[in-house]
Amino acid sequence: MSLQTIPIILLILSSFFLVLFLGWRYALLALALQYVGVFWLIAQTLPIGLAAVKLIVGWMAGAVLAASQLNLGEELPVSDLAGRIFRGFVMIFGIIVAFSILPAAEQWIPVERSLLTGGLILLISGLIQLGLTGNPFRLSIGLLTFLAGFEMIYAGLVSSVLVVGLLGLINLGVGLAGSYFILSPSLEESN
Amino acid sequence: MTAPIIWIVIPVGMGLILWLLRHRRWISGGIAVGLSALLAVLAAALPIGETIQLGGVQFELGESLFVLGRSFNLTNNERPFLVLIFTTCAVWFAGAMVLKQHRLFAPFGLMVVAALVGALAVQPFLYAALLVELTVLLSIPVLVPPGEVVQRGVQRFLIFQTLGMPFILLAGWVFGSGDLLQVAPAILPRAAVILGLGFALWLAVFPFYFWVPQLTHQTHPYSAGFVLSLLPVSILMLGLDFVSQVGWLRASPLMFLIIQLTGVLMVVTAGVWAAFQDEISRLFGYAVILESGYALLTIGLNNLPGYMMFAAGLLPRLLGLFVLALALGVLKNRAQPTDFDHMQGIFQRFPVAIIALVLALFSISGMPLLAGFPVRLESLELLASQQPLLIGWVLLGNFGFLMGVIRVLLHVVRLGDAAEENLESLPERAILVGGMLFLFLFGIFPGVFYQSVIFILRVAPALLSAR
Repeated sequence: MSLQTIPIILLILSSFFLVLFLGWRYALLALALQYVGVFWLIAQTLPIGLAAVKLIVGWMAGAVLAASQLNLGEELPVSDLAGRIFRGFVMIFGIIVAFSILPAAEQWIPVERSLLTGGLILLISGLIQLGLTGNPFRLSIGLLTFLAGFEMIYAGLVSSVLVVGLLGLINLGVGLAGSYFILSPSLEESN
Repeated sequence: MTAPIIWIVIPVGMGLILWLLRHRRWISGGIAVGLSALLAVLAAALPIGETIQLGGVQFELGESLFVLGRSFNLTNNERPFLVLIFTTCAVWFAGAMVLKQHRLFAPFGLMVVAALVGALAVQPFLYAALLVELTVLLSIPVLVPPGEVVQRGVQRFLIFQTLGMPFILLAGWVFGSGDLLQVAPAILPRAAVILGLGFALWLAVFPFYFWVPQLTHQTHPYSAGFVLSLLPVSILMLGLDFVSQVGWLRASPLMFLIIQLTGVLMVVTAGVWAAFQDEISRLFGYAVILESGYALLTIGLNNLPGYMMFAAGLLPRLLGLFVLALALGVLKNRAQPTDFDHMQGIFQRFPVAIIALVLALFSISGMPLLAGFPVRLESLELLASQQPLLIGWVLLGNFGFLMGVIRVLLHVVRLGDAAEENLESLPERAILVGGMLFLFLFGIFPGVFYQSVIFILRVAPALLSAR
């Protein structure tokens, strides 16, 4: 097992965690793990400083979301065993799809295989999360996962500081938008 | 002083200041109206890149602002678009004050416009995708007022717009990577497909548009109207700018055919769904889709008259959607349901709003004497001469939308059993009457208004010079 396989396994595990366990604490932990994997892989192509920006921004976005959920004081709806089995199978199917389309994706996008693999896993995991929830917290996590997947692939193509900065801003923006979604009902009425 | 500072940095900065003043709604709204109007006037009056003599002071307005090695460029070519977008904003912010929109509307609205102008100005193009995504994120507080639960429509708006960004960035990477002759020939069509997917997601093209009627139904129609007026128009301009910059795309007849077919599909499906729609706020969503469909149809013609019709179509589009959103906003503010089951006596309670609503819908469906008619007629004639087989489908879609409007008309004229009180305020009536007046003026004297707006095509000079 090469060193590059470890972050891929980390990304797969975090994706399963995010899909199977719906509590915000588990989600935050899985998101933190996911960004460690993203950092690990991106650090192979981008300078450590730029890769660290992605790690820190991802953690910050997750923290903003978790703080909002904590402020709301409500637990997220839990899922029964049947739901978990269903989501588990969807995720397994998603991982199979990611590995199946990998050779074709390599023809289209000339980036390192490990980056592409990790990126595809997160892209599909993000789409699955977005498709399976209407909850603002879960939706924001899904969007962050999707964006993290894309950022991994894109880091292999473009290494501009402005792109990294703007993508970081967008990640934070998604976190803040999610936070606004969560807390908006409890804010003071307008006008 | 440079142009991007005036039309990008100042609106962003003022948006932040207005956020601090958000609890003083009249002040923040008034400043937003004043600033937008001032920026529109400045865009009309100040030449960029030339020496300006103002009294005893002489200065030059530069074109570029450099940020982290990348530039934001605003030239004289962008000035007509700046006039259009800031005038539109001034009108929307004024309407927001009349409709007593929530406290975040003006601050975030101003930042949304600044981000859109930034997207048009940034070089290279791929950064525009990131700025459009920022625009989408900034428009969330506009769509969801504080104190309200976020609905599915807004969530899907955010999801679909975010999904579009990676496609544009990837395509931008291929087309923006210098000499395209050195790119493998097989890559270019793939990149074009990716680019098309990105714009399809951004513009809510069939089949990615089901969130549009959801958004107009579940959020305040005025907020939804603001976002759905500015965002698609700016994205269409971005698309034209991009195609104009990439010679390979400009020379691809297949791409323009696909754009045209997509436009037809949007007009047909929006028209057919509209014909069976029992909820006026959802019909508003289909009106947005129909307008985008027509815009794609005219761009797909890929000739000078087609592009001119696209540009000329922006004014009736913006005006029709504004009047429609305003009328629906008046109803929404009085908690008046807009489904066909609750229409009895609505005309007695909201006479001016109902007349404005019906006129705006008729204008969008291309009724004679109204703003939409001259452009629709000309666009259909152009399409018929180029693609006679498609014209029947477009007419079918337009007819379907008209049926939907006639159904609205039949329901809103049902009088109540007892005498009803008029619930509209005087400022609401005044601004609605003003909107209706312009709907007629645009329809009766189209040349006066449309000749000025077609200059926004200067944003894509290479596209026009080749025709």
